[in-house]
Amino acid sequence: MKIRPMIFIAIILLNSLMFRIFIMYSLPINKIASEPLLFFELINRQAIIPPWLIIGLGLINLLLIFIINRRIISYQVGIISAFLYGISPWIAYLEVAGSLYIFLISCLLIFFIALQMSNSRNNLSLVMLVISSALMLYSSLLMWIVLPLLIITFLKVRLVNNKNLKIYLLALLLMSLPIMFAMLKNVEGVRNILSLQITLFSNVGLINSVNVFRGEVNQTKFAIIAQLIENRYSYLSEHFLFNLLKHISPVTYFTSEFKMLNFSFSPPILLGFLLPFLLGLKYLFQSWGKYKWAFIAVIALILPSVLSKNSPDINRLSLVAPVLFLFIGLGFTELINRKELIYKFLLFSVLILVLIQGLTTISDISLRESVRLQQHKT
Amino acid sequence: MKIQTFIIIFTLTLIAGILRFYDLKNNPVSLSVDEVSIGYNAYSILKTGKDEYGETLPLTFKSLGDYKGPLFVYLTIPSIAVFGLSEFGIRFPTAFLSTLMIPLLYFFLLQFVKDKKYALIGAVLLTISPWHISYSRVAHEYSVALFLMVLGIFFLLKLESGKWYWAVLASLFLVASMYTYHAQRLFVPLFSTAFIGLNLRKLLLKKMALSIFIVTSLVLVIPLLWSIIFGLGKTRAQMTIITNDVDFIRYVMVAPLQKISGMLSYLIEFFGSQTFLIFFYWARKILAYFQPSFIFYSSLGMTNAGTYGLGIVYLFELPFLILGLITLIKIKVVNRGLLLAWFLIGLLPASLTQNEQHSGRTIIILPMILLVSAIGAVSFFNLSKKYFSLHIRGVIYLLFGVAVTWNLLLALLIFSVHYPKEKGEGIMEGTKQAVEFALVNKNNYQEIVFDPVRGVDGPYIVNAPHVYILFYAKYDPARYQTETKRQGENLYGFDKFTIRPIKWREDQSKTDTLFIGSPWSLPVQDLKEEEILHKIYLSNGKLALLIVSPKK
Repeated sequence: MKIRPMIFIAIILLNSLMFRIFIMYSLPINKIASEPLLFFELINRQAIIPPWLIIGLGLINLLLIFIINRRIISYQVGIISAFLYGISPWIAYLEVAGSLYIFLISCLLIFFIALQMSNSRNNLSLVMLVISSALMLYSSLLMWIVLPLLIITFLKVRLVNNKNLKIYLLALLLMSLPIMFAMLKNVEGVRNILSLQITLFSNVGLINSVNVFRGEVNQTKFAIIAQLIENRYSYLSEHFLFNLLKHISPVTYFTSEFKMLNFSFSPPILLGFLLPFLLGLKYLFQSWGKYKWAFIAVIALILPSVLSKNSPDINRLSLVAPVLFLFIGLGFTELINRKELIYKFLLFSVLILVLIQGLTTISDISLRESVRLQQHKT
Repeated sequence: MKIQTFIIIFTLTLIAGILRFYDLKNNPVSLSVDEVSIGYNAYSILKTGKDEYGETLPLTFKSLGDYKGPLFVYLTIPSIAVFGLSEFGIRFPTAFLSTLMIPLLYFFLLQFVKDKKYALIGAVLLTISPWHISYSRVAHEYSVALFLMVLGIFFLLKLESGKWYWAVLASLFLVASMYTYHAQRLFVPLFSTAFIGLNLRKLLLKKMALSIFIVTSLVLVIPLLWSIIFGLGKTRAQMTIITNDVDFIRYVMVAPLQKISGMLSYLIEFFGSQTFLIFFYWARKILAYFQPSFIFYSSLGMTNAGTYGLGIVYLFELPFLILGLITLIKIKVVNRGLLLAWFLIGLLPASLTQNEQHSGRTIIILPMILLVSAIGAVSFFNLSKKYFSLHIRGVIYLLFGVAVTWNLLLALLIFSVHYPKEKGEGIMEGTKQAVEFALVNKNNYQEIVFDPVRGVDGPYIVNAPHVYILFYAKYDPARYQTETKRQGENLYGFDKFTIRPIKWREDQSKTDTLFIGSPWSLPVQDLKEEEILHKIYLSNGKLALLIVSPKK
């Protein structure tokens, strides 16, 4: 790599680290998002990834995002998306809070890099694929749903070929034997963890409301219609669909509508990046054939959040953050490269808005966030 | 217009009329406080030329302290003159103009996008629109202001022809909408500016028409401006502005702040000040209008929180909206820029107010939502014709038909059953019966006391019984305007009627008094059987009000 990109990356890394140190200093959120690793839970031990390691992994994620996006799109997109990862309050908060999902992002990024390398008969890529997959399966039960979906997606779009797939699956099976054995030995534990992780349909209020509706209608001439129209299946289907739709609403990602760590006013992604995001989305739609895997992968990656009772779960949703940063990076590059006056004006507006909100967010963190945290705790 | 199109539009208008007029008196189950206040003020103007406070032909109606726009009240007067001071009388203007909105929207969309298919489908969607139907059945300014505004923009679009009378009509109806509801006071000037900006080249060729429009609008708006600047017109805005939002004050601008020191403290305090935070809080409010909850299941507030009720569009319109947006991005539809301007400016007024997303204040964007849906519907059918064989198309249309039927039947259940049962209390169900009982038995008592606070689950709903008394008694406005009212802390009274909290321990000795209150102020266990004269229940069977008179 040339000197200039290395300097840029170094600046972005330093910037990112400083932002995380600032949050650590301002907010006592150390370990509040930590979750025990699946394997250790099943063998009745508790183990979490230490926050210092999470922050370290976060810096590695930044590099990985740069490498991946540079390869699949361009250097410009790589730098911008890495920068976004570094300054995003979303990722910074979760790293400082010791979120397991930062670790899972690392695994997913290594998995993706390995996929890109796998078609050229590379043994290292296969090892990376297997290890990253195994780490995901050992860490979280939700990845047992996400990973197969991702594999099917990438297989369909021929990001991985059939021969390598067989070797990969065999190796993964062998590596997963201990955890599968632990699951079989502790079925009750698996059931408990599953009921805690997938809580979408355990909304008692929803079932109660169906019963209330049926009670209201039973006394009327519409009773028969209501049996067909208002039943738990139609309501649960609606519930799932609406949960899914919340995840494609911009308010989820660009505002504090669903508070990070249940208290923060900081947005996951600064509002100014909304326009580049929409432009990036438009560009990807127009190149649907080439990038449809990204859209399908997004659906797999948002599933953990969709399946949560408190959906959207900003913590779980961080799995999709690298893809969003890719979209934004693309859109930003469009803004930079287009020569028309309107695009220059829009670029200027975006930069001003990002700068102001960045300064406002930092100031607000200094002045008010720990007060909000206290209020949330009480 | 071809005969077939006329028949379709006529049929749609008929269906719309049925959906908006059927059982108008009883659904919603009660007149809300706003409806009653509007009705009585219209009645007062009809009889005396003055509002309930004695103001002659006001430009702002103080009403319940919410300072309503004047035109809707004045539009209600002919209806009250014909149908009397009744539920039907005050709901008639809204239902009537909302029904006329169907043909208006058809012609409007035809003028706006110059495509008959979009216009027809838009009219179909409006006919069954849950958003429009729900606001057509209440006496409120929203849909009337929308009607006047759309009519005004229809004439505005004709400005390009250069005819002076289109300019006059456009100003007349656009300014009329500003006199009707507050949201239009911000929307109309901004939208008109956007319209002129986007069509400047064409309009400069018709300078006279443009000048007539601007001058006429300015002249017509002077009294309103006067009222806003020097009168009570600005009070409503001051009351509802976003900076007073409780959530903003308690959650965003928390106190006490952390102490910071150092060189950067001034910079931190500057960027962390209310000015910047309110901007991003406001941005959050605007984007929240794109939440699925607002669009599909909770914005109309017809069912309890946590349930799936009705939103501004039906769920089956989801693919239409998505395809419509994609089509608008890909193809240059006529007036695409104006559509976007309408949409963005239309969200502004509601986003600048406190409280959660408000479907009434945002009904301004309804025509554009319908247009996007219509564009998407046409794309849907074109794409299915292009990519699928006849048999597969048949299956798709069948499944889609099932989804539409399911959605419409669900809407029917919500409108007919769940809304009255779950939200009756919120629109003061039971107050009418209580007032009518009090009026029938008025001569038997020295005083009739209403407790203004009620609620089945807790005493958290604040009523305004006095306006219901005025309404159902058809109380002489001239007398009400001039008679001395009894006023004090938590007390208001006129004639024999007193509105105050009931304290049963002290009040139970007043045998010449009739008390009307909820079980919270008249606990059933503390009452003797013979003291309870009447019990009033809600549609859901819960006890709402008790009418009690103490016995020795």
